[in-house]
Amino acid sequence: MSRPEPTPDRVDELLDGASPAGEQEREMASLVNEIQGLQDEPSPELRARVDQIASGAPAQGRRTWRERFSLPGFPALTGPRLAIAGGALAVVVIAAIAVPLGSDSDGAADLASADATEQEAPLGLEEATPAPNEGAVPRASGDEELPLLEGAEEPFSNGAAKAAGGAVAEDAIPPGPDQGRPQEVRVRTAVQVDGVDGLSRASSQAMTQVRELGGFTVSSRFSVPNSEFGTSDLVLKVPSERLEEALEGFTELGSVISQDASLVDLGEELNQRRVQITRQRERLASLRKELRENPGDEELTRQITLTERRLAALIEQRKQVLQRARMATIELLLTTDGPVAADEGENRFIAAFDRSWDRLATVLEWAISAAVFLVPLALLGWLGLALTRNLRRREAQRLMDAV
Amino acid sequence: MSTASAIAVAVSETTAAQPTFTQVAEDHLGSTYRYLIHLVANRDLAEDLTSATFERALKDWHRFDPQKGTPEVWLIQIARRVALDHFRSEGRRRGREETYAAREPRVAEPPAEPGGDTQLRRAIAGLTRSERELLALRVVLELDSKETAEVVGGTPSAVSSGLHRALGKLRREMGNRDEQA
Repeated sequence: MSRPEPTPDRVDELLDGASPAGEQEREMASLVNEIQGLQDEPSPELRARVDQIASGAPAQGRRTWRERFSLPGFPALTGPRLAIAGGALAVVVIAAIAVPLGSDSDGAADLASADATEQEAPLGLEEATPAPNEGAVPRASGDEELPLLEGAEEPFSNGAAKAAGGAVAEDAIPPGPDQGRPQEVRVRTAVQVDGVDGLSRASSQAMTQVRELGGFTVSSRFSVPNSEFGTSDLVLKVPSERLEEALEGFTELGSVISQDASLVDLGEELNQRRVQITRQRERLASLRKELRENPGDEELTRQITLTERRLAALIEQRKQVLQRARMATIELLLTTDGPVAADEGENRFIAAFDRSWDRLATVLEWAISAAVFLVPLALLGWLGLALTRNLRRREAQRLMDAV
Repeated sequence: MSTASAIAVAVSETTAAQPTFTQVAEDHLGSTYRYLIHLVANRDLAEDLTSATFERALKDWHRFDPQKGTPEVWLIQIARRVALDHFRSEGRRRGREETYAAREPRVAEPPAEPGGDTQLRRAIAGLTRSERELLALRVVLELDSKETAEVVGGTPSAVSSGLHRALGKLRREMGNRDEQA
């Protein structure tokens, strides 16, 4: 009985060297031997042609990218090493992107603060406290306009404005840490006091001290949720030149657990006001000249009144700016709790951690935006590629099915 | 081992792993040619396609990565692409000729060269190109099923089935011819 025709797997086995069993397999093996025995050697002409082609080849093929990135004597970057190197590279790239982004966001915050430039720095008392004003008033931009206000050429007809102008003229711009520019000083300080009873006493004492120094209390918030814990938030104003005395006085209230200060440059704001006031004064002079030439013109009289009001308002605004420069703001937190209750921003590690998270979030935001934009494009590209490859495979199959 | 000798060993290993194109051409010219002659069943055409294969291989030599496969399989894959390009251009040429022939009086074409004068060659020439390709790869070049599947773009089981079908067809063809003789 002859064995049935060999199966595809059996044909594979025969080709891989298995001994044929049965007539069918022996026939198959014989046919395979016959095919393998066909003498199909390339002709000498073909050899010569290929030799000629090969003679144009470089002595050594181009190295693969793995070889190019591997140092002699060191293992090639494959598998886990490649993943680690790629991860490290990604971290470096993200960090390189994140650091400038973080700087940009800080810059944006600065710009967002309207016309003021804020410099925040931990401040020692000497640094934060201006030198006493001994009459050596710096010639800041704000001061340069004072002669204009006092000029007799165009005296104010409006009494209020005149009074305001006089007040402004008397204002001296307090010297800040930068002696050449008017600055608003803002100090935040936290003081730990003993017990809830001490809290009330310390609050009163702080307000009294400030009043004695020529300042005043802007706001006060007292909170005692239980007999163990209480806080008192005070916002105080003191003349800039007496800030140091005020802060020294607060050390007597308890233990100072945090303190930081910021300076807001008011020079730009004062410059703007000066330019606006000059314009209004010029306009006023022009209108009055016209009125002298055309006495009784009601429209001109109305415009003069309006301009005088505007001028008075601008002078008042400028006075307020100068007042901000003259008076330092102290945000005093009196607490019965320890340093934990202090300003969280004081903790540098937490702040650094928060900033890192912010930067990472910014990078992720960019990455998500890019993904939203690129993923559909990539998907379309991939679909097109798959379609093209499928068509080419079908065409190749059709060509190969021909005899 | 000193650092210098370690570097020398590493460099020599790298050199050994990457053969030269001349070596590859010399070692695998025969197998490339045998693959193509079985695929196209025409000696002159196979020679032309073989030289075209080596020209393209030289151009793409920088892409060859010995870690991804043997030089033989790489060359056969190029030869296959060269042959497919030829079939495509041949198909277009025939299309044009048929369009022209429809308007002109038909002239009898000479029979296609079967690739040799033996009975076996004629029988092989009667197979489809894909069947001849499988015979060339599995029987003549003795590649294993996995390598063959890599070349033709299929699975090893599809290769086995196709080869089984081709050999069966060949056996029947040879049997018929024996009976006719």
